[in-house]
This record gives sequence, C-alpha cells and structure tokens, in this order.
Amino acid sequence: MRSTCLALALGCALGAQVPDHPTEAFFKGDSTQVMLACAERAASLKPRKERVLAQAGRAHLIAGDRVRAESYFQRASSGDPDATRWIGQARLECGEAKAGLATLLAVVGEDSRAKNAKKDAAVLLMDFGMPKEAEEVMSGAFAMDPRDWENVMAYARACLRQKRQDLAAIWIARIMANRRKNEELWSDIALSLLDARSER
Amino acid sequence: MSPLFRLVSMALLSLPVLAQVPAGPDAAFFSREPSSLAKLCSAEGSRLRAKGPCQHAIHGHVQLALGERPAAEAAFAQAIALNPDDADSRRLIARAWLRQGFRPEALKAYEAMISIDLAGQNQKQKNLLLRAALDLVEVGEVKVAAGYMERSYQQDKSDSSNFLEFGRAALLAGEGDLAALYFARAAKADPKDVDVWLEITNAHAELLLRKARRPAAK
Repeated sequence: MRSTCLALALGCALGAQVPDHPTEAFFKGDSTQVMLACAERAASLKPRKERVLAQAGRAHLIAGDRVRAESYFQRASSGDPDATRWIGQARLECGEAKAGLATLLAVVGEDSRAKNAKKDAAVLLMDFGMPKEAEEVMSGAFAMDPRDWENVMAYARACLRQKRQDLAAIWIARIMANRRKNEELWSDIALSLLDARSER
Repeated sequence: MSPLFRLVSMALLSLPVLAQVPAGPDAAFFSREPSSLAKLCSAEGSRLRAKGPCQHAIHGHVQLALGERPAAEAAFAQAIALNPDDADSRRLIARAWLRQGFRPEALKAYEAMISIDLAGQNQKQKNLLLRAALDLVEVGEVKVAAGYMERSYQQDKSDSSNFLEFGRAALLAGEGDLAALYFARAAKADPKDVDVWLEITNAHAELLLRKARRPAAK
C-alpha cells in the first residue's frame, strides 16, 4: 500500500514536469498532467511576466488546485490588463461567477488605452451570460475607438452566440455610421450570421 | 448550352440584390430574420466591391447555405474568374462546400487552392497547406488533413506557430495522437519560446473545459 502511494505521488510529481527533450509520447499523456507540466515550463521561462503567470494559474484552477492557482494569480495581479483578463476568464470558466465578474470589471479601470483587453472582457461576459455587464464594458471599449469595426464584430458575434441578435443589431448599426462602404464589414456580418445559424 | 449563354446566366444568377439595403441601415434592419439578412449583407459586400473575389465567394457561401446551389456556383465561378490565383477566396469557396457537407466538392476545391502557382514561394505554400489542414481536421477529415499538414511540415520544420495551431485543432477534434506529434514538433523547433508552452497549456485547458461541459464527449 505504502509503495503504491509512493509510486502514485512520484508519478504525479514527475508527470507535471516536461522532460528535457519532450517526445511525442510525453504529449500523448494525460491531458491534465500535460497541461500542468507545460504551464510550469512556461512560468519557469518567464517568471516575472504577468500574462504568463496568469495563464499558469488558470491551468492550476482548471486542474482543481485552487491554492496554487491563487498563488500565481497574486503574482500576476499588478495591473497588466491582459493578465487580469486571463484571471477573470479562469474564474468564470471554473464557476466563480461573482469573482470572475469583479476581476473582469477591474480591466475597465486598469488601463485607459487597453481597448482590446476591454473588448475581450466584454466578449467573455457575454459568452458567460452576463449581457448587462458585457454591454457596459463594450461601451467603454467602443468609446475609445468608434471606428474599430473588427472589435465591434467580435462582440456582435458573441451576442449572436448567446442568441441576442437584438443586441448585435444595435452594435452593427452603430459601427455602420462610420463604415457603411466597407465591403469586408458586410461580408463579415454575413459570415457571422451563417456561423450563428449553424451553431443552433 | 453555349459558353456565352452560360457566362451571362451565371452573371445574372450572382447579381447582388441591390434595392433592399438602405443607405443608412439601422438596428431594425439588422434585426431581420438571419438567413435573409445574411444574403442581403453578402450581396451588399459584393456590390461594394464588384471586383473582390472574396466578397463573391462569401456571397456564394451564403447562397449555398440557403440551398441555392446554382446561384452559389455562379458566385464561386465569378470569384475564380476575377482572380484564379487568389488563395483567400479559394479557401472561402472550399470552406463553404465543406461546411455545407459537400465533401467531394470541398476536397476538389482544397486541391485547387493548394495548387495555386505561387512561383516557389514556400512561405505562402506552407500556410495554404496549414489552412486546408485546419479546416479539414475540424470536420473529421483526419487523413487528408494529416497529409496536407505533413507536406507543410516538410516545407519548413521550424514554424512552431503553424505546428501549434494544427496541434490545437487536432486535439480539440479528438485526435490526440496527431496533436501530440505536432506539439512535439513545436517544442523541438522552439523549446525556449514561452508561447509554445502556453499554447499547449491552453489547448489542453480548452479540451478539459469542453469535457467538463459535456461529460460524454470523446
């Protein structure tokens, strides 16, 4: 019994490490172990980079190791909007709706220039069924650059995924005020509607 | 049917709908029934850029999705006639066939796409092969996808971002062994690149989350 436990413990410990020369066999291993091992390798390569630490924390949260995840999140929480967005996403994905929302709303205040991080946060909130909050964050991103039709379309697609064509319609009409003659926008709307149709 | 008659018929079939998109489309316009709205929007894209092969290819895709195959084929033919060597529109056409379930037409269209004469531009050629492989693995055409991706790999064994993109698609399509092959190739190509490890981390994270949402998934 003791030897079995020791073997399991050793297996887990070794399983979370990437070998020096990882082969195909390593990547065929258990998904959770491969994920954690790769996250650890990434964090060891860039131990001060916040977006890297946030993604490593996300991997641990998904694997169910909240303590380790929170330790990474703390190291990643000093103001990089991209890192904050990853942390918020991880919390939403793992069922922590309230904490996830609070983290994503923090993105709005962190960097007044980070329109893409705001758009990403808005898309996540919409995807996780929080349209009111998503609208608020997206309004902030839009105010920063009302001509960025690609960001608006990314958000409109999230609305369509949530079967909120009513909201998508408002955003698309808004961007049309500046981009009526942009043929790529019209084609993108068509493809987004097709994608939403096939997802039903 | 004479070639001239055929050409005129095809051009008429693919004519965009001109009258129904207002000058200043509002939210009410974009709240229309999705299928008819998609058709109006793709037609408007073609109208605004009549010489744009991609716009015609997308218009064809919408028509194919709505079951209007002759009109779709006419739009595809127009896209190809405008620029037979345009890889983007060729891919849009191939994807349209694939997504609407027309396998033989799709495979033929992908062959046409990767056969575009790029005059020895390996960089572009390998990316075309990757794009075809990504589309095909996503719908379970694993053997054809793996073949294209192997050809891409043989052209450049150092492009870790291409290997990661394909590895992720293969993993999420349930092809773990194929994914492992390309993750290993990416790790070998760029072992010190943090994004290599993050991409593999995130691909597995996505797989685990999908499995958690759908416990019966592969």
